[in-house]
Amino acid sequence: MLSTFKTTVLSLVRDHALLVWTLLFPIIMSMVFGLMFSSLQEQDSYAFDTVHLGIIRDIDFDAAPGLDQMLDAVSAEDAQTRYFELTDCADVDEATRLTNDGTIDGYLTVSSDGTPELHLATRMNGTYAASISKAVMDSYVRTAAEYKEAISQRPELAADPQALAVFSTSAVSTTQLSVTRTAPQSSMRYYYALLGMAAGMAAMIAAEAVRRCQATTSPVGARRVMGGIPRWKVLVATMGASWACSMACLVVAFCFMRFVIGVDFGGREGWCLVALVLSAAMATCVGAFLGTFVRLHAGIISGLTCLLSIFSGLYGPGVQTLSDTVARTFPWLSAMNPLWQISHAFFSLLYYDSLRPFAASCLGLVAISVPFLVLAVIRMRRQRYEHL
Amino acid sequence: MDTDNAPQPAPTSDVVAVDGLVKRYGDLVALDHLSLHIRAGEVFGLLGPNGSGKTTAINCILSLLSYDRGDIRLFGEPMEPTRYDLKRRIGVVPQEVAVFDELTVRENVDAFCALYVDDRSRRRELVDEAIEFVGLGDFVKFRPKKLSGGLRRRLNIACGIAHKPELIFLDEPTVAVDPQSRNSILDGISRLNHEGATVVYTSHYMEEVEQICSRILIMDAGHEVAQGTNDELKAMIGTGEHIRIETAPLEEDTLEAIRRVEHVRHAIYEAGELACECSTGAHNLADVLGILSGAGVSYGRVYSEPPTLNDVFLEITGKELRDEHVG
Repeated sequence: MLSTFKTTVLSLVRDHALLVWTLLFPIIMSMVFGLMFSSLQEQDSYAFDTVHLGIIRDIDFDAAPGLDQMLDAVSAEDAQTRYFELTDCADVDEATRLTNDGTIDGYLTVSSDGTPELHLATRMNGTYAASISKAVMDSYVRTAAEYKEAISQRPELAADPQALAVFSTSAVSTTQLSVTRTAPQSSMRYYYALLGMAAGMAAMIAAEAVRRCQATTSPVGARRVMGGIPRWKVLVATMGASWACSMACLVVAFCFMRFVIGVDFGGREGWCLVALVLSAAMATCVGAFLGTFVRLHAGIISGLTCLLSIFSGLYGPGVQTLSDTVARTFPWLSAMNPLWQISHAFFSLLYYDSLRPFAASCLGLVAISVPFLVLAVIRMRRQRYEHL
Repeated sequence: MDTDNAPQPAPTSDVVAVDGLVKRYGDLVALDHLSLHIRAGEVFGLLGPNGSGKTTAINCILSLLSYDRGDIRLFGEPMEPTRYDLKRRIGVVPQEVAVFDELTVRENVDAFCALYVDDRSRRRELVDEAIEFVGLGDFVKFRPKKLSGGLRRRLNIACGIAHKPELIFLDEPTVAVDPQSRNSILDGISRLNHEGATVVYTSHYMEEVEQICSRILIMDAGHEVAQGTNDELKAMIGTGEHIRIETAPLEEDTLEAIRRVEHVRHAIYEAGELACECSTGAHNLADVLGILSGAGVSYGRVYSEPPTLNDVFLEITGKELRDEHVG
């Protein structure tokens, strides 16, 4: 049995075509993703850059209640979050010129009815700084409206500087909340889907190993069927060797992603290994079943893997939307996709505090593997055939 | 498999005993009540054109193929797919080279030997012997793809015999090999037999079968055409020797005189050569040469060839055994 295991491992690791698809392909794709997503990861980070804001202190500005105090509070050097760094501008023309030459990121004007208007450079479009700047001003507008409402009902408050101070200091308050275990990183999903695809490709390993055990699928198989050791020993050793090779390929891909590319697995690398063990087992069971078919070509496995990868969201935002839609509308369909289960297992480890979603994916992988294993064993146990 | 109505074999000490073997593929009868008995120490030849059922017969005997009727016993025991005790006593050299392309010569022989022999040190000895036996000592670290066709065939044989089986099935082991490798393979088979192995050898090359087999079964279309030793088979037919004589131009009267010789079936003169096909007879050549001398015809080289297995096949089936005539 040990000799069969060794023979199978040796023959598999020296098969160049298998190596390309199961070992090199995920590594190369990881490198490609790493290059593609380096800028995306910068966008994903929530680091906030202080906005250089021009101020035009005209009559309307001075008339806006508490605006000056609020701006002082959020631009103070010792503020908890320094939202703005203020630059006084004589008029709109100077502010526009400074914005255009990049000295400031935008400027603030106040309309005659006391409403502040934020003018940001087009380069700020879509940035977190722009969103937060707008949120700050919206917050001020709401607070100012409440202040005016309070004055209209209790005019004596207008003379109370303490009341104004309360409104001014509470005008802006932002709190960063996280609904996931770690901050969302859109690129991670690609790597997890890639691990799923690598597991799908690894099914080729078991398919090839089983093909070499079956009298119907290869001359070597016919010869091995004539061997003097029980069939089950050959099959157990073959499946074990296939699993070991698949596992090794997946671990190499995982380590490359984790330690070279820097993919975040949420600090749960131990659980990731559990996912890899089950992924390799799934690949072995599915591959073993497919390997029992006479006319199976390796291209069929790679084709199936590419197809299933669509629904694990490997190919881009559009496909991810499709994958998410399928997962919401037909959850059982996604659950039947082993590549989605693998991707989801890693996704769960990164984002969920609880291990339950991860465990569900692991159970899903087991549920997919077992029927294929049973079918593969039934087909592989045959030693005598109607046709050869 | 229907064995209820199969002929009941008599108790036998034959190494291989096959009785009434029938194998059908739909309407096609691949084996039609084939029976053969092979005794220990024989080199038994299965001869027949491609598609005659030789490989099917071997696959049925080895329990790789199911069959419809018949009884198969190896070493006196019924052969079943799970009879690993019997399988350990058998070596198989399939028609197609069946080795791992990714393993070296040595690793290949070891891998197949390990299907029969657990003990690693014993296996090492057996592998060394097998590699030496087939003359691949200089190629132990080569992968099969780096070997010539003949050397690959030798590797194929080494993988089948390394565990020193008592019974060896060789299915057309010399297909598409050069003459040197063919001679080496045939010599090796004879040596295996001298060392005590019983050999079942299939081929459509009649010369090989004549050369190494002690008994021969000729097959066609799934059934037995004839069975016996080389001499017994040739004695079954009326065809005798083939005579060819290089002569000066022959007169028609002389040619007619030759045709009237008792055992001469056909005689033609063509391109300076007289060709006669004779039935069995003791003095055919002397009779023909006597007529030529009597007519004053000078002659040069004289060839007299005994009948071949192809003649046996031709006379019994009405068709040639050779590839080009096989349908």
